[in-house]
Amino acid sequence: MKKIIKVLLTMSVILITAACAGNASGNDGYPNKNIEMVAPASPGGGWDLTARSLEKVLSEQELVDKNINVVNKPGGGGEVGWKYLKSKDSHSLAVNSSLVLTNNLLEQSELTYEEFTPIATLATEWQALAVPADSPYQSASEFLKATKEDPTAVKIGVGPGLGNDDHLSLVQAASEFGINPAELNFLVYEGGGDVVTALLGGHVDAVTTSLSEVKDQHLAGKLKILAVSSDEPLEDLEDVPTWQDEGVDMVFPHWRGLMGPPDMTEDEIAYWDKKLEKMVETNQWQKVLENNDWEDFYKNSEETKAFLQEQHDLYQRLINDSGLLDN
Amino acid sequence: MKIRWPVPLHTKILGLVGTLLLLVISLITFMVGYMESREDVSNAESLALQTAKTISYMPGVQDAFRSRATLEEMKQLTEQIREEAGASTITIFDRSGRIIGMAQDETASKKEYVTASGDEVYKAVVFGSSYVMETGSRKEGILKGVAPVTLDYHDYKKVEGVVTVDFPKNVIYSEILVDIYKIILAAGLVFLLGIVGSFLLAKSIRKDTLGLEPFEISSLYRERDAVLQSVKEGIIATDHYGMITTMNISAKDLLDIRREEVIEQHILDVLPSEELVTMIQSPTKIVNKELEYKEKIIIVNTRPIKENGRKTGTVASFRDKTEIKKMVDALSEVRQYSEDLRAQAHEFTGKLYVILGFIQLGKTKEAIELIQREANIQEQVSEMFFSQIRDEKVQAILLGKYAKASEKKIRFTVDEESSLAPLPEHIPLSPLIVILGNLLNNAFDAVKGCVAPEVSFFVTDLGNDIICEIADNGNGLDKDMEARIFHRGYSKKGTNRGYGLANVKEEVYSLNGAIEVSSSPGNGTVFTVILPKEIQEHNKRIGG
Repeated sequence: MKKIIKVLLTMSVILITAACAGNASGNDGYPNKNIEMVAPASPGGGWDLTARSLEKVLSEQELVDKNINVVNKPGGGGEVGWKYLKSKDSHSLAVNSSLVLTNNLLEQSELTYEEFTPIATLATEWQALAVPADSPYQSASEFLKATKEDPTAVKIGVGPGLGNDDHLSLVQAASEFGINPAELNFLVYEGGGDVVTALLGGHVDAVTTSLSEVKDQHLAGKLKILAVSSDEPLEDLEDVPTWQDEGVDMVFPHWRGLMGPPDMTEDEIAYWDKKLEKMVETNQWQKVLENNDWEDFYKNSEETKAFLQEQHDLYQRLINDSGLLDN
Repeated sequence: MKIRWPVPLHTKILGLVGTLLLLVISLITFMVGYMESREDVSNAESLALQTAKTISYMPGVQDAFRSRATLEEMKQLTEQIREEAGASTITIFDRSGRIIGMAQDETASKKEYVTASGDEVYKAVVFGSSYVMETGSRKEGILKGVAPVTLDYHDYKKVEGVVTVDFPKNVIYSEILVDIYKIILAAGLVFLLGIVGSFLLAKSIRKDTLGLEPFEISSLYRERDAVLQSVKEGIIATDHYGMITTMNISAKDLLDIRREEVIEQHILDVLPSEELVTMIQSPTKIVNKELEYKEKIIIVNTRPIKENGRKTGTVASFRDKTEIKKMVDALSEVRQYSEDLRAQAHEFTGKLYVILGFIQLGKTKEAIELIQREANIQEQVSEMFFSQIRDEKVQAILLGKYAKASEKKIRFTVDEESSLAPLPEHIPLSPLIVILGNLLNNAFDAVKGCVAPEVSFFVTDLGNDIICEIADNGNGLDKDMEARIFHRGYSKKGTNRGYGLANVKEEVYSLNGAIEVSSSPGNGTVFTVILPKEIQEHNKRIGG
């Protein structure tokens, strides 16, 4: 009995000390040690690029005086990295995207976005529907009409897996147009590059992918982008209509953001709001956006929280309501 | 008043233990049952999912999609898988909803229920997800595992079909029921054991209480307490640690214990006499041992309480010897008076015979002289005793003592200056007997062997006090003796005596009086007793 009391006492002392220390560090100023930037993918991917860009700009613009280290935790469509983040303290942040929502909705992960602290939404890419240069479909509406008539006849390339934004954007567009997504003929390729290769090789009739994958070929005339998922026509691609122009009421960002482990304090969140707000204004960051065909999509923590909620509801409908959003 | 029938002990214990056990066991049964059923359901869910996934990956199934096999060709394969998994229905669809393979058990095929709707497989077809869902009516619920069949065409993959595996929920429920039945059986066994245990407990308690019910014990206890408190003898009982378990009012009075709380106190803290404590703690019994305690002599009896040869406590009883002694003394004093009077009567008879002899011999003159002399003496005595001393109690005592003195040939005189009105009521006879009787006896003893033994008595009630003086012409006392004579147990007359003067002192003090002695060797002794005529409660004189 005495032993137990002793252990309990010791534990409470440690806890109190820890609590004081935690408090002290909060007052002394956050961050008080190196920052860990988790990219939940292997080096070279979009998430890795986002993480490294953040590290570079934040450090070089001297916005954060502590070292920032990028850590790659690939696997499970981001799940490995995010699980890792969940076990860390507030000095670790992770890059995220819509997968943090869809993984759970598609029953591939137990993690939900609500288990993390939203920090910011940083940038977005837009989705593109592309066809070969000599395609019979001259517009997105023509494509959809033909697909509606005989869904199995139109082969659509997507990669690297079903349920990603490339896939979902077209699922949503098809739904809006009154096509049952279950009837769409998706061929799943290894990655974005393979999809374009398949398109150029004439193996598929159309592809849905990130704009950056097809933009150069479109400009070179090797293929044709029928629609982009942005809300208004894009720079350099003024001739390409948006889905809204084509009569499909849809804006589909492929966003990337930043989130922290659970239970970050308001001070810590405010710190990142301040720093990231400054960062997105810098020329260096604007340059990064330009180089990657990203668009500024900055939302602070508060806005991001609402945005995630809104996105979650959208995806939930998209995935669970067996297509046909109108019905 | 409401009459409450006493509930027997075993009913009480059985009722309480039974209720508690029932409560605890049913709670545990419910919780375990709940957790078991949750686990059964989750096991069934993962079985459904894993079976669906496994089938979707099976080369045979994948080949069937590639070769566009028909229902009949797939029949054997799916039936085999269904048997092994224990599912009710396995269905393999292609994208367009055409059934590629299907196997049903007998009950499922009879019901002809819809095997799958577009909604159910939507997520698998469109997004390639695997999942478990619950379908069917509430009565005949089905746990459905759904997995996509994804074919790898080297360059790309494509979801070509869906596998659904149905497990009827009632099979799961019957498994749960079997589990719960086992749990209830075990709980029932525990309950039974508890009942048997409490029955044995009740029996064992009854054995400890000599078969008495608690209410009987309490009434016995109260009775015993009343008996103890009503007894004149002081009684103390202690446990083997020396803690007092019982002490009656008489014991408190006798041992002069003022504190209220004595139960559960240690005797060492309560009793001021170490000797008494030693006696109470004695391992053997003590019978009628006398002990001096606070100016009193008490008679102590102790008896150890033994159980299986081991001492578990002691009972001690006390009586006040002083009281007994006083009674005996007073009794013997009274007897002494009657003896003395008989002796006097005898002497008179002798004298009457002498007078008769004189008359018969015709010696009238001598006879008359004798009568005159005796009458003179009697007159003188009555003059002496009855004219000045008008209190009858003192008269009686003095007359008795006079008789004794005359028998012992001691000259006993009452001072002519004496005067005493009848004594106030607060001075009764018995202390007077003790005080005067003892002092006079002592004086008679002191003059024994003297040439002309003489004892004189003086009393006066002038003023506020009654003052008596008893003087003898004996050998007197030296200073050492003078200091000790009032102590109990001191005597010149041998052992087990010496209570006389101590008793005298006690009686004098109890009447708020004082006693003094003045003596010098060779010149005799004078005892002076001073008794106040009125009781002065607030001004008690305390002798030294």
